[in-house]
Amino acid sequence: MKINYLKAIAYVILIIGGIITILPFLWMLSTSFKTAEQVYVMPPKLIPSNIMFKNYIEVLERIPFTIYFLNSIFVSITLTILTLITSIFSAFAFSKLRFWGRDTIFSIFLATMMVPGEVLIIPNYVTLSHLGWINTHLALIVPWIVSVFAIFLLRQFFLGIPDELYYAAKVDGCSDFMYIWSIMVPLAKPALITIAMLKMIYSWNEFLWPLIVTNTPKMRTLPVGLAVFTTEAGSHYHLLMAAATMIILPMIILYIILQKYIIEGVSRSGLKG
Amino acid sequence: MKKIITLMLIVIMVVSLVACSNDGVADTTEAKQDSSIATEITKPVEIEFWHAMSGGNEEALREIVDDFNKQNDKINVKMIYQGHYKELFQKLTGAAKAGQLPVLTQIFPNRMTAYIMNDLAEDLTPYINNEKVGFTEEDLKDIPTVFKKGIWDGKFYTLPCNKSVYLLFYNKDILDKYDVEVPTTWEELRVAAEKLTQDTDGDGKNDIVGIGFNKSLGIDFSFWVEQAGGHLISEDEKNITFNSEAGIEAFDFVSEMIKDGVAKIAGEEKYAYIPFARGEVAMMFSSTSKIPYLKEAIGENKINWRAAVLPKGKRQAALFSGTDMAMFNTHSPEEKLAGWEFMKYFMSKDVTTKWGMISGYLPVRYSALESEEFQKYIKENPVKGEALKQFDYGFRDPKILNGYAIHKNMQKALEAVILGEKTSKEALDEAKKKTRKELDEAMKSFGK
Amino acid sequence: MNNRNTFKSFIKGILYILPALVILGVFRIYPILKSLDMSFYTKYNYFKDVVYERGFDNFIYIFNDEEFIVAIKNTFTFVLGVVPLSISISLFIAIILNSQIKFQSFFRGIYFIPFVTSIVAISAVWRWIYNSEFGILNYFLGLFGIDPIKWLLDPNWAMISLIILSIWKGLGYNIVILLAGLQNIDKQYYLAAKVDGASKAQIFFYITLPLLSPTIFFVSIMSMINSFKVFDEVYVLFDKIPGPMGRCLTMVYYIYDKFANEYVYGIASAAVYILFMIVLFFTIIQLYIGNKKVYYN
Repeated sequence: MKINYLKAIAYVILIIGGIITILPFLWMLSTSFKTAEQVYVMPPKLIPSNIMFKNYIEVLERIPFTIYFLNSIFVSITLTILTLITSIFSAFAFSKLRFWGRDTIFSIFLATMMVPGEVLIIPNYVTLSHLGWINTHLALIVPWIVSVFAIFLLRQFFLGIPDELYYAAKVDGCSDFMYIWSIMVPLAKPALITIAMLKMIYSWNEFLWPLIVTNTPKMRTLPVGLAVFTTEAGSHYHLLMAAATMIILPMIILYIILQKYIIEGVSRSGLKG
Repeated sequence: MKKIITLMLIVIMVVSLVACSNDGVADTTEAKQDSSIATEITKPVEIEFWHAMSGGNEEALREIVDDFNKQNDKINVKMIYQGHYKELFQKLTGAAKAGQLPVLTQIFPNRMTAYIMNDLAEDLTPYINNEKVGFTEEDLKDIPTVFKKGIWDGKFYTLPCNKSVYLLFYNKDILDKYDVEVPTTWEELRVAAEKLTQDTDGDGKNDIVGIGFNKSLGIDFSFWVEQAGGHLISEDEKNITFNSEAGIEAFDFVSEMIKDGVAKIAGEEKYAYIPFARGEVAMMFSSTSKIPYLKEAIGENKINWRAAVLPKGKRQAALFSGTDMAMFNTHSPEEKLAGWEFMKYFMSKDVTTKWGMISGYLPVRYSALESEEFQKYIKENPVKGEALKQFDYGFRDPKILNGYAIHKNMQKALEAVILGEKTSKEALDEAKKKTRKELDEAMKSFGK
Repeated sequence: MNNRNTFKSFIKGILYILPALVILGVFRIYPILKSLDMSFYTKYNYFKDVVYERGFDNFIYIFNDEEFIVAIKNTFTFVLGVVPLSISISLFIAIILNSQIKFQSFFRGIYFIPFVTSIVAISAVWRWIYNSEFGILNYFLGLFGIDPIKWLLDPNWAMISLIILSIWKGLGYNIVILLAGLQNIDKQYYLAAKVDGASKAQIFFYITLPLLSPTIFFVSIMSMINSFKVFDEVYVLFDKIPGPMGRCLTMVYYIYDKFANEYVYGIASAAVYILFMIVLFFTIIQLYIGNKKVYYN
């Protein structure tokens, strides 16, 4: 009896917590369906009187959201693919190849994880301006195609694959590339999906860097576009919330579909292998 | 052993990288200075124009740019919105470093100084004086002095773009209801604000407050100081003077009205026109640039709004704000000529008249101001007419490098005073010290 | 023979890691040194990349700059406000989730959602939630008879608003990791404890907590490091100012302001380095203690 009582409290707490977590999103959605006048009605109505997409259309008309959207998609996908490639090769070298300096280089790699991204911004801006890359997709992508965390995660995974497999493949005349592609990659699929998802989320949401290196609407990503729009929108919260929804929703959908991998990846990052 | 190897590796990397970066430094191209300017455009050119106009003002600017593009088949001006002024200026600094400055931009004079110091700004004087493409003597005389401030060391670097002026806006119905005359002096303003602050439904809270201020009150505070007889900075821009007697008096006057509840600052809404449009404040201080927004915010509401010249303190003074238009020299002569053609077009009598009517800003030529068209417009829109009355005592904010520091620190000081954390004198003295340091520091990053 | 082999394998290994090596070299390691160098620029021309004088002035400047001291103070306030609360709440929820609850993964999934959303977008949403007149938060509080709070305008509330948002945003991440940690604890311990007749409290304090300590420690350090770098939330929540009266001026905001608004790149770099040192300090503690005291298999 007492146990059930406790259980009930536990559920209540969880549900309240869940509501607090979800409410901001609902409030955002609800506002995005309201008219300018309804936004300022007190008491606020959580369920709008009618679902209308007028605000979304207005946002799309007022700012080049489609371009921002395509930029965000292009940048996040390219970043994700390139990160996977650099991680696979590095992780392979760090786990399966033996060469002079390997562990030292790996430690240096790990050490760079300690550097906060903010430290890099000014000098990287300077470097990129020498390269003439400011306000290009290169600036948005190239500096971030290596994730030491991904290399670390993948290396752990590769270490778990017995070396015998590698030697056997070698004896069969399998090249390293073939071995990586046909054995390692399929085996490491869960880890790769995890890496891909986390990278995707981070690059989709990244703000300060794209804010600084983009100058024209042609290059802006969604968060930067939104920040610019907030100035223009002022206190037009119905429009602002419609814009926010368009940025937030794709990631939530992606998350719902691939939840398992994302959560697993995050869990693993905490347990350190 | 391992440590030594690590160290060696790092050293090798550093050396190689530093070597690389030095190569990079050598290539940074000095801006090429052409002694003569182009006077003809042979190939079609596209030029960027960075701006910070939004809402109705952006639409107005777009209309003008579209007209220009239609009339000039070889020039295409591309407007690029960069957010609010501050964001626009951040983008410009970054672009200057990256060698990606646009041909044209809106800019405050205090921001322009940095580019002039670094030879990135295009001297407009040769264009102005050019026989083929330039201005005539009459053209130059036609521009009111208060707008001809884009001169550094005798050379023109900027021309007026979107010029607005602060006015006292008032809700005529409320003033009539409580039998209040439009205030013309500080004393009258204070009295009017007290009378107009009303609790209409008797719930113990004031439903109407006498005066509404923008959140940026401290940033745009200079006209109060000027009216009190002071200046933000000495004429040679060497001494900061906003903490003078006049500055303190102005701070006291304004902050006391807020503390006493007869005036309030717009909060989350940032601009006073929003509560004004709802009838929650009876009077407000705002730049004319907000007129299109005010109209939009009023919408269907019945607000009978007017405007008057700023009340007089020890003397009359009116802040002309808004940006100038400037050109950068990092482009080909033809692109720069295209830029100049647009500037000239924008300054032409008909266009500036139109601009003065469809945006929240003012025409920048006497001939436009006096034109039949504009005079007729004023009759229907008396607010802009009030703005014209202030030309004689209009002034502009200082154009010193990092002038932003002056305004930023005054804003902070004012907030502290209003919260009662400091007296006006303490806050301003501190702000002065801080501003001095920040102005000096900025000089160091553009040292010669 | 042997030597040649070593050389060959070295070249091969390097080739595999080359892309990563180059990118990390150029965009991670070089910037650290460049930043350090820039922090000593006292007279220079940023646009033209010429340095005339180097010295310690920038460091002297920032430590005499009241605003920087305020920024450090605010940042620490923020960290102290966020980390302990966030960790205790998430630990509490993780423990509930771990106690044979139905829909465990459903709840975990819900709590995690804020983590995948854009900080900029969600901060804009919270700005609306916090609106003093029309925001939903004040409306709810009003139902309990609490007067409207000026969350974003009142200097005394601004930091609290920022902290609430950050806790809300980071909770899911901590819960997931702590839950994984809890699930990794060998059930044998609990069985043994039960056999010995230990109470729930005893089990928690003598088994769960010590065995979970490495995970708690990891999560704390991670959220501490992240909290030291807070910027995006401030930028959007207060609409491009660091809060009323600069009450939410954080270290990164200070750096950003100096860099983007005030043309003082040397000072910005010096401030960057101070931030770096603070973060490094906590990272090293994490590594040191992580390797020594708390271990896990």
